[in-house]
Amino acid sequence: MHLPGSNSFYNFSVVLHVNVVSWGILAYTLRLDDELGAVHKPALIDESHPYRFWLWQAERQTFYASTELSNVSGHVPRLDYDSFAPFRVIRKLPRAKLDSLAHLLMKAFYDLDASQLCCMYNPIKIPTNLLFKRLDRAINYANEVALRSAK
Amino acid sequence: MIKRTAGLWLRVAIVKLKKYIIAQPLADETLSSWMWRVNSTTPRPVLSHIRFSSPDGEIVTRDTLGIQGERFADRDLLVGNTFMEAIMQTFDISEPWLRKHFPGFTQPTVPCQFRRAFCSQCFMESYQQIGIPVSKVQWCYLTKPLCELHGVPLHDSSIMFIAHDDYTVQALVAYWDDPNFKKNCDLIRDAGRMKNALALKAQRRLHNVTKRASRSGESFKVQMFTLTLMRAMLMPALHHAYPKIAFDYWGGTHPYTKLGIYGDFYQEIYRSTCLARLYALYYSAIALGWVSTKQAHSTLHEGYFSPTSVDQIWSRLDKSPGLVRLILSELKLYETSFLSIAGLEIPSRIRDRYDA
Repeated sequence: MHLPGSNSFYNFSVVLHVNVVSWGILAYTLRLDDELGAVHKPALIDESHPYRFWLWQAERQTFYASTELSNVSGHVPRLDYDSFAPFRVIRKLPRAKLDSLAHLLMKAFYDLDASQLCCMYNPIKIPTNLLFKRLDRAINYANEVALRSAK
Repeated sequence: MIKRTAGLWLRVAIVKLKKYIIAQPLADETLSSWMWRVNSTTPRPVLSHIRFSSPDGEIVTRDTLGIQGERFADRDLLVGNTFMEAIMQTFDISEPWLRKHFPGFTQPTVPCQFRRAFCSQCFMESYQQIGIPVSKVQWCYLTKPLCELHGVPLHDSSIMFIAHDDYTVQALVAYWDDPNFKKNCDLIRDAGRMKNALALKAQRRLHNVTKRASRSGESFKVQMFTLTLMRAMLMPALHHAYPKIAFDYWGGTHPYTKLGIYGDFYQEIYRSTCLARLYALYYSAIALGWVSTKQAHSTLHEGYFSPTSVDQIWSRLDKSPGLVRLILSELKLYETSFLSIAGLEIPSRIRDRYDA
């Protein structure tokens, strides 16, 4: 990410609000957070824990609360299973569907052709407006495919 | 009366002269290269005038524009090209004429901010013939890392296309004026003669297949099928098989960044060096069965750790979690009667596991 007047940084989180029946994405929020310095990959989904975005959505309030609490106590928040209570709920979601959704999102986020890439001078520094465009593109693509498969 | 007639004749002569002065585009010449040639013939160069006469009286640098995320128009395309109107007015050129001579790209291209490939022999020849170097459209194509005319690997200029309106001239000067750079280019060219020859063979075969597929409107799919294989071959799982120099001077300010499997797979090829794309094409040719194991064995003295068989390639790729699934799902999108997954010699254990 590159914000005018500040240093570039690479971390952002996207919280998705998903209808798990139709597998359509209803809404998302983008969260830029300097504190999450441990992850150095501009990814929607952390590959080591592919279900993490579900965890954030499922227990968003708890997550924010725990992060704030940790910030107050000076303790760096750790994003692991301890931070998220309803892990058992996640396991009930069909793995194939989750994998497919993750694949569609990641493909549409990264699979840009040369003319689309022309907008970017440097792929490491993604200007904010471009990031929103790419997120919208990824979510629209995933929703289109979900809609097609539902028919 | 005589004066008026003479004036009319003079005007006609000037119009004729104007038309005569416009340099005709050479075969396969890029729009930006031709624009600079034409631009150089005027007393007041059009491109520089537009570039440096901003209304605020200050020159906005391209870096600033880039970081602000404003759009970069590709100077090799007619669409969105800020110079086109001025060029058309100044030289009295019609749009259909331009569209006929510069129809745009027909294959997946290197984005303009990373474009820097050139063939030094082509540069020299055009310089000798017309006194100014000329850039070619084929150098912009991702699946063409070798010069079609001379059959030699393209080089990466130390000058970026995006940074200079007279990129072609700057690239020739930078190549010619720096003895070390020139020497390095020659050394790279001579280092892998066998692999270069096999990659050229693959490039020509792909060119022929694309040509045949274009009759049924499937040329894009054929190109993308090969590009997908090249993307796979550029993944870190096979980096040990590349010379280290192939990853030097990677496009942008960062080296190969390892953005994760999707970022690497889809995006790194756009800023790769010509040498990296040459190796990727060569390994893709092995995967496609266009280069036999025996032929690949004959290149071992040029790189002992290079994979020489289809089996070795897929085994290495299979060690990265999720990669083979991603490759196969992408290849499925671009299958045609010319190139298909069934036609690839994928080992049966991998076929069975991924249901390919």
